[in-house]
Amino acid sequence: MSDLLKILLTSHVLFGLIGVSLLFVLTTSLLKINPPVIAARRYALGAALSFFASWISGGMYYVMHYGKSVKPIILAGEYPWAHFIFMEAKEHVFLFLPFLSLALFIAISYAKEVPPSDTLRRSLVMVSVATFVIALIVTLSGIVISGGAR
Amino acid sequence: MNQKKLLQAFSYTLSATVTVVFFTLITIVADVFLPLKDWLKLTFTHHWIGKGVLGFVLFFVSAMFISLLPLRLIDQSLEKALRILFWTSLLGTLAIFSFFTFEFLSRLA
Repeated sequence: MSDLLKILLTSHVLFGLIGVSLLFVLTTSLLKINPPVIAARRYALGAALSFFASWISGGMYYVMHYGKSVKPIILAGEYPWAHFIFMEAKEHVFLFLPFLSLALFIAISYAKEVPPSDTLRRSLVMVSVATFVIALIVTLSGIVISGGAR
Repeated sequence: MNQKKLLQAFSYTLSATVTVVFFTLITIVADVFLPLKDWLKLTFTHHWIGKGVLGFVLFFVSAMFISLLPLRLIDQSLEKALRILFWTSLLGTLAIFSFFTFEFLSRLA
């Protein structure tokens, strides 16, 4: 694997993990009765930007290297389902994450203008939890795929 | 001011829902209806790049379109849109994982 591919894969994983971590912090801060809205807004924007960066770096690695070199190894190994189920699902479900995070950022920006009601805060928590859970599923799928290629 | 911000938040929440539904449908349909996958490959060099580019454009275009509608919104409108986004994103994830699991099991049969 070339240095460029190593950098792309590492960036994909790192930005993805930063995004998941920021979603966790965002969710816990929204759970507070008086959520720190300005900080929450920054966490959501940070998560969105991280997922966009992870999308670009992971996408380049996927298109340039995965199909040609990694996929055949997984398919010839003992765990072809790692590709057929987890990679196929992960690469598509991942696409939700930047847009969910961006929508959260914009919705929290509104909540910054008006004191958010308890029901609005609860709705924001629901989307934040869903985004975090999806990001966690995507991360765990990545671990399964890596295992399948060994 | 608040009505403008509320309309913006509502538009982007709803456009995120539209985008999630789009990604879910195009993922499943392109795998079942191969001419669509071929068209995506031919137009965007890779089917996954095509889905991403189309979803990206759809997100911003649909948000712009919704924000131009003469809507009279209240806080509850945004709450409802967020709850719809919550359910759509979870169901979309479940649909995609179930689809590829079913497809893999069909290969074994």
